[in-house]
Formats: sequence, structure tokens, C-alpha cells
Amino acid sequence: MKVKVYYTTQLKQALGCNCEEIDVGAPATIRQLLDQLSQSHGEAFDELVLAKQGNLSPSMLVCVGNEFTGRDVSMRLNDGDEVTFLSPVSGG
Amino acid sequence: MRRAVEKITEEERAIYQWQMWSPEFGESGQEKLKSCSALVTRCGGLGSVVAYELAAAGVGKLVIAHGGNIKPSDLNRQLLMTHDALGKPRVESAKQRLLDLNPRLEIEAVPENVCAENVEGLVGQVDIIVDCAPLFEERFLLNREAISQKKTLIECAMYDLEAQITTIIPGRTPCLNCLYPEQPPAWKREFPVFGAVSGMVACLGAMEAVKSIAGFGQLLTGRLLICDLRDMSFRTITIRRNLSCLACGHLDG
Repeated sequence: MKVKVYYTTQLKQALGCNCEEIDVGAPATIRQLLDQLSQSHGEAFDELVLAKQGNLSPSMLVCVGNEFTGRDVSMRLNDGDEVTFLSPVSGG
Repeated sequence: MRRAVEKITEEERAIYQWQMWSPEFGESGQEKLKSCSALVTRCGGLGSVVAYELAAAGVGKLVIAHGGNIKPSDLNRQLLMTHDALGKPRVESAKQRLLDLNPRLEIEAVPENVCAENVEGLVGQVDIIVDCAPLFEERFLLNREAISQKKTLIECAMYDLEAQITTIIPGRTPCLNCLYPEQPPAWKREFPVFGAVSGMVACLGAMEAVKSIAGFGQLLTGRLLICDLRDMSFRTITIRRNLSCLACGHLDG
């Protein structure tokens, strides 16, 4: 099963890409996607997206399609889903 | 604070005629703007343009808050600052430019950034707030105070060629704390910025304020608009309240 992952602002800059297609296997949750992205991107991803013990950082917004997931990492993903990681920004 | 609705003068009718042609706005919308006060916190890349657009649109009173003096690095985006005023207080330059555009404007220029000591007073004297601060500490303070005084808060933010904006109505929409329950640790004070990007989201913020004050159109409530000018993509994300939010969870929906 494939999902498309989008990165914004600082995360996009840190990872050096704004979008990639990920084969997550099926069934898969956001938690599994996080683990997979952590493995492939390493520290650059972990630093901005994960908090202690590998949990999702409270300041990272994750959306599936155009819906905020409310940080529910147990949410099941579907083939073709678009997952967006929104870094917090405060630029004025 | 909102005053009794003030009628517009003949001079104002001539100035605002073209926007009064907008359906649903009209003369009554213009009178609401004239009778309204808005706080713009910091007059940087975002706040300069928000304040300028609100002054141009005919908002009756603006409170602007921004500390410090003008530096050369302000001038690529802080459009109320001028080269001649380098080294002088930002709010003085901002106030002068706003009055050059709209001498009818009542303006209070506060030479301070939002802080714990001044936030209650700043929010207390206006009807609506447009948050243009570059630091989350200031944004969280404004968010809490807007909730406490139940005032609409428009959150504009940008980074590089990307921008985000949402409109917060305490008790009805997610607040900043619902989105970010903790201070984002990775945010840094200095960030890449083009004036055209901060100005773009500032215009969106000013239009949200005009719509909110005049009561027309659909606000970005419960929605976060995200845009990336690298590929000119615009999307709105549906966002939800966090009912255990420490800032607004106590308010009924």
C-alpha cells in the first residue's frame, strides 16, 4: 500500500524534499508511517517530528487528506492517502 | 472598544466608494469598520501590511505594538519602515506612514512587544486582534488573553515561501493552544522571509479582519489555510478543538 507524504516549512528544509511516496505495507497506521520515516530519514526527521520515546511531538500537526488527525497515531491509513506534516511556524 | 456605529462622512464616502460596491458590504459595512478598533501586534513583515490594509480600508482605530528601532534588515519586508528612519523607533515610522495614508485614523502606537505585563491592556482596548508576532511566546500570550476577553484573533504566520492562517473565535474554534499544546522547540527567531510572502498572508489576515468586523463572507474558522508560493498551492485543512485544551477547553462550544 502506498501513501504520499508531504512536508512543510522547516521539516521540508531539514529533509531536503517536499513530497515522497512511501510503501507502508497494509494495513498501516500513522504510527507505522512515523517509524518508517524515522528509519529512512534518521535524526533530521526525529528532531522535528518526534518527542521523547518516539511519540509524535505535540507541536507537529499531521493531516490525512485535508483533515487534522488530532494526533491520533493509531489512525488507519488507506492506499493513496496523502499525509501532510505541518511544522509550526510563527514568522512575522 | 467598539463604539456606537458611526455614520460615514461625504469625504469617506468618496474614499471608500469602490469597496462599498462589494455585495454584502456596502455603506453599513463601512460604518462598522469605522466604528471598530483592531490590535496589530508587531508591525514587521506581516503586521506592517495588515495595519496598512486596515488603515486603507477605513478601520476607525488601530493599536500597534512593536518594540525596538528600525534596522537595515527590516527593510525588505516591513513596509511601514523607511530608509530615512533607520535607527529610530519602529512604531513612530509606522504611525507616520499610516497617518499619511489615512489621517482620519485614530492610532495608538505602543513601543513595546506583547508581554505578560501589557497583554491585558492591549487586548482590552480593541474589538479584534491580528497576531503577527514572530515568537510563539507572544502568540501564546495573545491567544490566552483573547480567550479570556472572548475576542476574535486572526493568526497569520509564515516561513520562507510558505504561510499559514486561521481565525480563532474563543469557544467556537480551535485556539492556538489546541494546535500547539506546547511551545514548539524548533522555532527560531530568525527565518527566511520575502516581503511578498509576508505581505501576501498579511493581506489575507487583513481581509479576514474586514469580513469579521463587517460580518460577511466565510471566515477561516475551524480551518487552517496553508499555502506554498514555490508552487502556488493553496489548501485548507479542517482543524478541531482540543476539548482538554488548557487554554480554551473550559469554554462551551
